[in-house]
Amino acid sequence: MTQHASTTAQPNKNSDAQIINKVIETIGHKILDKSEAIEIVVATLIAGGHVLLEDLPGLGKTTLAMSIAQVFGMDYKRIQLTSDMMPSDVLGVSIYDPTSQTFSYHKGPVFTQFLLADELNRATPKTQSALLEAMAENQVSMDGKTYLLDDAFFVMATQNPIDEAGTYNLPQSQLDRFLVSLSLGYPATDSERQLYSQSYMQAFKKPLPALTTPKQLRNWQQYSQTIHAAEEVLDFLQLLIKKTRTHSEILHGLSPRAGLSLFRLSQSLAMLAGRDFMTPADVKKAFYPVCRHRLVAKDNRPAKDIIKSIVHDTEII
Amino acid sequence: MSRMTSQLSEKQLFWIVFAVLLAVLPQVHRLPIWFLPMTVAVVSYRFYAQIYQLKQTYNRILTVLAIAAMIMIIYSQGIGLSREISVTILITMTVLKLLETYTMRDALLVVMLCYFVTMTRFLYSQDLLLVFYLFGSAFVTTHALSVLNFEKTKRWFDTSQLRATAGSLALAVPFAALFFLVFPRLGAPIWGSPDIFGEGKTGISDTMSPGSIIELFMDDSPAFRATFKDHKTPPKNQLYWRGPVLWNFDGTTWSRKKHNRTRTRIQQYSERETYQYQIELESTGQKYMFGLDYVVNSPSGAFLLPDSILYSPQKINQLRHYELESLLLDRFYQPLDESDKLLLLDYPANQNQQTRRMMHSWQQETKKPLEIINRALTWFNQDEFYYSYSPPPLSGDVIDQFIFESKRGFCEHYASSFTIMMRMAGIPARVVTGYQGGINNGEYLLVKQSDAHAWSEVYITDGDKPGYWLRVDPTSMVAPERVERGSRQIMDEKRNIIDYDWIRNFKESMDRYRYRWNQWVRDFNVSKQQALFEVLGIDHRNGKTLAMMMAGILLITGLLSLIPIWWLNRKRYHTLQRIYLELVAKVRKNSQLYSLKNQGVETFVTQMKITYPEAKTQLNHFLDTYLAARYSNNANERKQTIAHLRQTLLKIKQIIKH
Repeated sequence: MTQHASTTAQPNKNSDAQIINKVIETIGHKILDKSEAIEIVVATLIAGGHVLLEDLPGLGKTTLAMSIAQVFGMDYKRIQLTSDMMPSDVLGVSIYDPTSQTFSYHKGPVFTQFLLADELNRATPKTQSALLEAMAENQVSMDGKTYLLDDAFFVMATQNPIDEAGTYNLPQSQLDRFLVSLSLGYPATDSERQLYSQSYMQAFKKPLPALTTPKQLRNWQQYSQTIHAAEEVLDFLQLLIKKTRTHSEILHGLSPRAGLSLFRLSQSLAMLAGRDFMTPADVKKAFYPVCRHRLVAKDNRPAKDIIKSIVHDTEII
Repeated sequence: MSRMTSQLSEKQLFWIVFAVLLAVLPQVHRLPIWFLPMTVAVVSYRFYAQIYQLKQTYNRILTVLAIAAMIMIIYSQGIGLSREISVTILITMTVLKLLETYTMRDALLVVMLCYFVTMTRFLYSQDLLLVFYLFGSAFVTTHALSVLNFEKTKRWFDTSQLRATAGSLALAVPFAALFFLVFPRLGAPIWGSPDIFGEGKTGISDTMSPGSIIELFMDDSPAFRATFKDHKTPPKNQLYWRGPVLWNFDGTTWSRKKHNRTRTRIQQYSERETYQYQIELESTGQKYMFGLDYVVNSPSGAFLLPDSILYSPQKINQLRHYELESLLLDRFYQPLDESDKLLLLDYPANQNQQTRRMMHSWQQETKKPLEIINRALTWFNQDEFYYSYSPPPLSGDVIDQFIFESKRGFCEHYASSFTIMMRMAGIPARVVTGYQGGINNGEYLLVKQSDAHAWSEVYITDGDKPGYWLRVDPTSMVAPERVERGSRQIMDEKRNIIDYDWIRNFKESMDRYRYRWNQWVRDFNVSKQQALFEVLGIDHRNGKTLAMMMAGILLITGLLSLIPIWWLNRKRYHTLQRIYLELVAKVRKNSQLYSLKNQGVETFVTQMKITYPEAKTQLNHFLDTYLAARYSNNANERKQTIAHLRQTLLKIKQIIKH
């Protein structure tokens, strides 16, 4: 069966990869010099996960979100979270309609395909968890009724890493609901120079063309789950996860859910590379974004260097 | 729960108990009578507790049990520092330890104890068959250790794990051989000091009481082996192997006379040819050594007593070799003191009156000793005497009862009665014990314990001529075949046991193997090791050199033992990995690139493309083919793919060279 599936998938496997790479390239026209981050975000989208962006203000988070939504032709909504926001501001609210004398449900901004939840850590834990629950279950329950979210529902949440007053840090258990976490960081000098050029300024104002559709995205999401992983690759993946649990400087190792996230992201990265099978390099590439928000070093330091050293020290021959 | 305190599974318990039982089994016969029921009780209780998940017995109860066992040991074997008691304590406590073996820590201890128990068996014997058995025992113990550490499968007898155990034991064999050969030896075994571990072993002893030899007839184990020079073996009826000579008779028991003179050689007064031979004597725990009547020269480390016994100042607690030269005589000229003569004419005054009267009447008829002897022998021959291994028990006037009533007996009865008869007739006489005969297997002459024999020696004086000892074997009058064919044959016929040729052949060939084993292993003593050291050019007399050598050997074996560990843990690569390593090997000189080899084929090839842009196409092709071959779902046509990869590799190599 697998044999058959792979041979039929063969013809559009490369064209799929071509389209996706074209998508990444196109987004790269707006977000300069960040193709790796874009690739991870797109891969997460295809893996059916959600992204947590941790960055200082003004580094292109919103631009990235908008660009992706445009290129994929998705409905796009943005909520700016604040500490006085209620769950109903996100999920929607039932309002009494005097004409029909019933309560009718007014859908909140969560009913969309692409949701940018800006400054998630500003919202109160109550609102945060309402959103995260919706993310996890892909549905909203209100007044005893269940409202399904869109199939291609995708959340990109941003967090301001500077410890400011009036923020509520997400607990580890909630962070685990994001497949990956990223930080764009400052652009390189050359790219930043280019930012101020006239041509870029003009191009920036134009919206990007839609290169694909949410339907296509769903096909890719389904296809990416069929990407083959050889025993050797799974061993490697398992070994990496095991190392996070036995590492002396890490507080808690990766959970099996995190392991599954690593697996799914590796699958979509393999698909992006135009292959129908995973390689250890895919796992390596997926490891850092999956671990970034999940692993905490013992004295609460960020575990960036530890994660990188784990990948580097795990041999593959 | 940590590993050390984890509870044992039933399978682990089974293997431990099995190991303990196997280690203990070969010693059961010498342990106190209560040992076997105790073992059965302990093992049954332990399995019962395991199956019904009973809690561990209270420590107080165990302490009481241990003290009780100690008291029992002291009660059965006395108190003191001897091999018997030490071994009994070790074995008993090992078995009792099972009662508190519920966790891994105790189980490991029991396994270690099992190795010790197995070893203690060697304190008693180093026989070849036993070595095989103890190998088996060590195997089971090692397997128990293996099962404690990991279980490959849940099966109780897992063949693959059993094989792994055999493999790890096989690894130990070269080390054992090395240590055997070069580990410096002591002059005598540690337990060889005579008085700490004194005990009666099988073999001829220096007393003879009714029934003492019959035990030996049942014993098929070898007494000694004689290898004659140039295969010149004397006829069977001359093979009288002299052992202790018994002078004193108290009515039931014969015992030795204590001598205060020794000598190393006898005067050679006969021109007859001597026989030269080597004896390999099994350990006896006694000081007697055996030689053909009469030994001319005593070997080094031994001397001859006035009654021609070959005597060793130390107890023979290990295999002993010695060279002998004998003159086969049945007359042996030797002067006799008056005091000795009186001793040799002595008999219990108030016993055996009937025999005494008969001997007196014979003495009236002739004064010539030889005539009296012949008359006695004729009497044994023509009256209704039978050679029997199951004579009726005698008590009181044993000689009277034997000669006039039962008339059934074996060499012991005949020699004893004949000697007393001679003394009653005024002829000095004594009993000689030893062995008679032996089986010639072409290579050497095997003398077994069952060849034990007793005969008489009478002292003949004829006027002024010098007196001489005359060997008289009254048993040969009754059962000439005893002397012609050996005791065992008669015995077998009499007992009518299953007697097939192949059993006899098997036993004989078994003894040949034993002989080799003795030659090559048991007899590898200090002097042979010194010879080996000399060949190796090591000064064995210098203590410092020996200490250095010991340290060196330990170091070398320690290092050698790393080899199998390294071999088992070495990295093994499959074909595709090896192809990748071939590619890596091409850029060995480029240290920066080479250092990336552990990062996987993609990272490596990507960097390589930067270093060698001219080979980019080939490298890309290589990478794609390689990844598909190694990780994709489509693993067929592997051979072709590998060949293709090798070709691409060649191309890359050519491009890089230019």
